[in-house]
Amino acid sequence: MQSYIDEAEKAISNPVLQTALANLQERLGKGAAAAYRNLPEGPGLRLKAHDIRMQAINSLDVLLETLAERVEKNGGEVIFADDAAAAVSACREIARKHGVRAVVKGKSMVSDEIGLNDALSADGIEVTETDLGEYIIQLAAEHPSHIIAPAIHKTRDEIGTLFTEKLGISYTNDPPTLTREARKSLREKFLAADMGITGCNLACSETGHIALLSNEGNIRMSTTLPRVHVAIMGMERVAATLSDHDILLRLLARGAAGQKMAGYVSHISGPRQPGHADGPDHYYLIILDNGRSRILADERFREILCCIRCGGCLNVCPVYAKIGGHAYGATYCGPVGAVVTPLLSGVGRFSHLCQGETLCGACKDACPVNIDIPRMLLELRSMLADGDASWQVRRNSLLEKAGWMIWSWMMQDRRRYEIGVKLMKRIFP
Amino acid sequence: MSPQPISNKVRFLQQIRTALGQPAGRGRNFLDLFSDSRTGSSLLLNRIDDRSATDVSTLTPPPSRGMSEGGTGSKQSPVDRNPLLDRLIDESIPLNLKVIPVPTVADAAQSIVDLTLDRTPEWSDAKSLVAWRHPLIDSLNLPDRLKSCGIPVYVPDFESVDFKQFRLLAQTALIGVTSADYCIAESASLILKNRSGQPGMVSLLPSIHVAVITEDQLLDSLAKCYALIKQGVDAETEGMIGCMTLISGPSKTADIEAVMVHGAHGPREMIIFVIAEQKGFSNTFPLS
Ligand code: SF4
Repeated sequence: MQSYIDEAEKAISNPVLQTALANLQERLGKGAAAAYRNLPEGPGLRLKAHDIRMQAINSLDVLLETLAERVEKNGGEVIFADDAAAAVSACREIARKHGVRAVVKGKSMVSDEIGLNDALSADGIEVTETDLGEYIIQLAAEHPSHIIAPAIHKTRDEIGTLFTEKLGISYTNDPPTLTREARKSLREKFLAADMGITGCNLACSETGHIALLSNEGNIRMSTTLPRVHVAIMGMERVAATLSDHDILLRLLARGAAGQKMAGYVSHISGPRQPGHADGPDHYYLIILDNGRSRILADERFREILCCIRCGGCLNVCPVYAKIGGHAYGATYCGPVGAVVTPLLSGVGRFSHLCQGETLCGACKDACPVNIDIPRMLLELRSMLADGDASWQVRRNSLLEKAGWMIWSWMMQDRRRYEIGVKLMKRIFP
Repeated sequence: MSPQPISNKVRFLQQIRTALGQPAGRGRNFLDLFSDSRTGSSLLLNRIDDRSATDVSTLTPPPSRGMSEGGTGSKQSPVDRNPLLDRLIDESIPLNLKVIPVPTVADAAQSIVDLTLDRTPEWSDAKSLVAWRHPLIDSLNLPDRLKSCGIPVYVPDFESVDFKQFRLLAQTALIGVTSADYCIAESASLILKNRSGQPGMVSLLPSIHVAVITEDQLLDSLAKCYALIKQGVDAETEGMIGCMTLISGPSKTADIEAVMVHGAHGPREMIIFVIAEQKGFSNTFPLS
């Protein structure tokens, strides 16, 4: 919790980050709202999408079984991984079997969740993040601070210095030039890689395909050129039918970036077919539980499995706008992270996340599938207050409870905040 | 990798059933739960045939605007125009995607020649093109048209070209020329499927992606596209989806201080020629 407050303070006293976050919210937050209004079916489609997602989650056993059958029929291999360790060892085993030396990765939250990069690097495999933002973060040896804009906390000057150091180019802070340099150096990586690793934005049970979204084209490169493709999906990321898939895909692009459609949407059903000139020889789909079935079993929190990780709730959250992504200290940040991180990684350990949010409700309105995040934050808080044996939570002290109530009120105003941090530091030295 | 013991999958799914409070064993199945989906899409298909110029009901009216680049439509009454084409052009502008209606295949071919002569290669000193083996693309006759300029056009005939060799050609090419299955007006998205002679890398590795389609390939929505795919003949032979890509504009990124830059990893420029016969479009193509 101390690191939460420290990181939050660091973020708030960084004027560059404050401006970047404000701009991000202005651009993407408002963009998504406008994009919902422009839906041919009207903004009410979000409510329908919520039902579609809930129905899918309630039928998850059937959907995953059907999905696996279809993928196998198309020549792919499906691996069910109970936890991070199982998923990581499956990836290492695949890499070993195919003699993989270089991996290119598309942005994948779930691979961050399971700590995949470190494990592969330890095996002597070169792992390159290929989303430009992720690439910058990897070169700088930092962590992403936003679900879809991972390098939002870096300035163009910092990136210029970084590229001079790491890529040996002469210094520039011009974004098009920097992008061109990254384009060149990453192209070599794509062409040389043996294996591509991606996440999965949304699978479809009826057809057996997974859909992957990007604007840069790095996902297409990673799934077209290397001879092995491994996709890792959280087990909840599946739609039942193509018509559900249509609705969710359109809402995902809108929630994430206010777009009608992402620049590229790859639909992948299996490995390269006979006579085709590209596509991987081997395709593996890893379906990950890693604590999700436990969330599924709890009616209070099952709804968070509807999340399609668009990052939309980050773009409207007043707390995220101030403290940035790093303060959350975990893979998933922002409002969705405040619910999902404690549930996946320990309610006690990450209790401060749900206490830190303000319950203003902006996240629910911004969510393409209308997830009631404030309700679940309240459930978590009451769990913390009263204790809950099934999640190994002990009762909170009254002092701590009061402290957090003050914090969340403070977060709504800059001046209040400054006094607040000092006060919090006194309460929790 | 040795095949996974079946018990792992069974146990994994059983854990989900337990979490959902479902009885053990496979009690429910997909069709029982989601059987209404087929009827849903055939209803949609009935409406697809109405997608011609007269059906404007499913489209939001295009905002009034000037004609597209290269158009001579100011002399034209709006009824002559395909509303799907109008919509596509409107949607393409903010995406930095150029949509150029042309009256004939020959006009599209000439524009591609002009484009080739005008642009500078990025990944090689010499200019070259890669193109799909596809009836419409074949009819452009690009190899002959570019021969006099000494610019080669490579096509992945898989009897003659080996795949590794073709990839080397694709990664140094200036322009990749493809067609598409459909084009969705609502989001300006081309639908491409990997097929023999039509690899995905042609729309991915070259610096510029040019697609040539005909007007009747325009659809208004992704829902209709999915419905057609679901009922299409392809579904039987190549699986329902296969390897399919939606492409809505050139590659782009805004990861450095939110400044929009085109040409992140994929093509930095993208042009769709729509062959819209007898619509009175100009055949001159604005290069800049
Ligand atoms: S909770 Fe909703 S808005 Fe937030 S990431 Fe998930 S789907 Fe997007």
